[in-house]
Amino acid sequence: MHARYLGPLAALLVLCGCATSRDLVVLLPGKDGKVGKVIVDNPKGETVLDTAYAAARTTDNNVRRDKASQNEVQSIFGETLEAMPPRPISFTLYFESGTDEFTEASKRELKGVLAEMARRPAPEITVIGHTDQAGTDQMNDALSLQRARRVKSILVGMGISPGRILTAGRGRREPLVRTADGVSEPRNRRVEISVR
Amino acid sequence: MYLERSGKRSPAHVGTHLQATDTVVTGADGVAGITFIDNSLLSVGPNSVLQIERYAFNSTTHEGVFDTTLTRGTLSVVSGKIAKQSPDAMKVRTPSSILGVRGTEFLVRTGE
Repeated sequence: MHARYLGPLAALLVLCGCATSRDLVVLLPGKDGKVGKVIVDNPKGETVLDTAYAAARTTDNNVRRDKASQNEVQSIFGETLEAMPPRPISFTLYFESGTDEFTEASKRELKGVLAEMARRPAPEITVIGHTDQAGTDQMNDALSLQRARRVKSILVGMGISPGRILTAGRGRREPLVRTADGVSEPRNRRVEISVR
Repeated sequence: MYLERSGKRSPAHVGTHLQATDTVVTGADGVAGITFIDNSLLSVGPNSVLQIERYAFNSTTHEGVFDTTLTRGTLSVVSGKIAKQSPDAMKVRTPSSILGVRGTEFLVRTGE
């Protein structure tokens, strides 16, 4: 009795197997001209994509590495690419030495932040404090966060909702200008506002 | 399009905040763009299902973890600070593959 159904049932399983797991992965050139790397790991093998438009095509039986044409990318991913959020943009603010006052150039940057937020559908910002290489990591982490919080309160005073603003203290990990340890450098004492 | 959070379905609109483990589901005429606090950017095409499985980002050290799964449809990715800091911290899964992200921009389609 059961044997009669074995044939059709087995065929159905094979059909389902063919219809699943068909992947296409395409590496794109970065906006900055750099091409990154994606490693596609699959039971059929590992494929490294590290050139512009390199593609990995996976079926149940194999993985094939070749190149995708720009036409193919446009026809498969056109709508998806159009939905990409705008790239984040950073503004950098400096303080007049020894004061809470922004430099004149930094006041113009603040206007740029507001204009950039107005251009985005759901703008959010991160205010990131940075320090120079003078002092310990612990001190600089605290100081950089303190700077970021001060700038956040200024932004809130300009009418930006506090719910849209995150603060971060990056300490001395990301200097604008490389210096030796212990060096006081005004260009590194800055606050970056990243709008996304 | 809608979100699935803890088994419950809720409508999503521009500005909706996502949480780790949320799933984004788009219909035939739906697409979604997502910005992350490490400046990673994603977009999901029509007829797609994407789960944000794990997301953590330390804004001081830039260490973090970012795991997503595309079970159906199309995905566009521009990686952010997490992948830049730690080459193995960002993974995109499909039902058959795991993509290790070493930076920048790529596209994924799964199913068919």
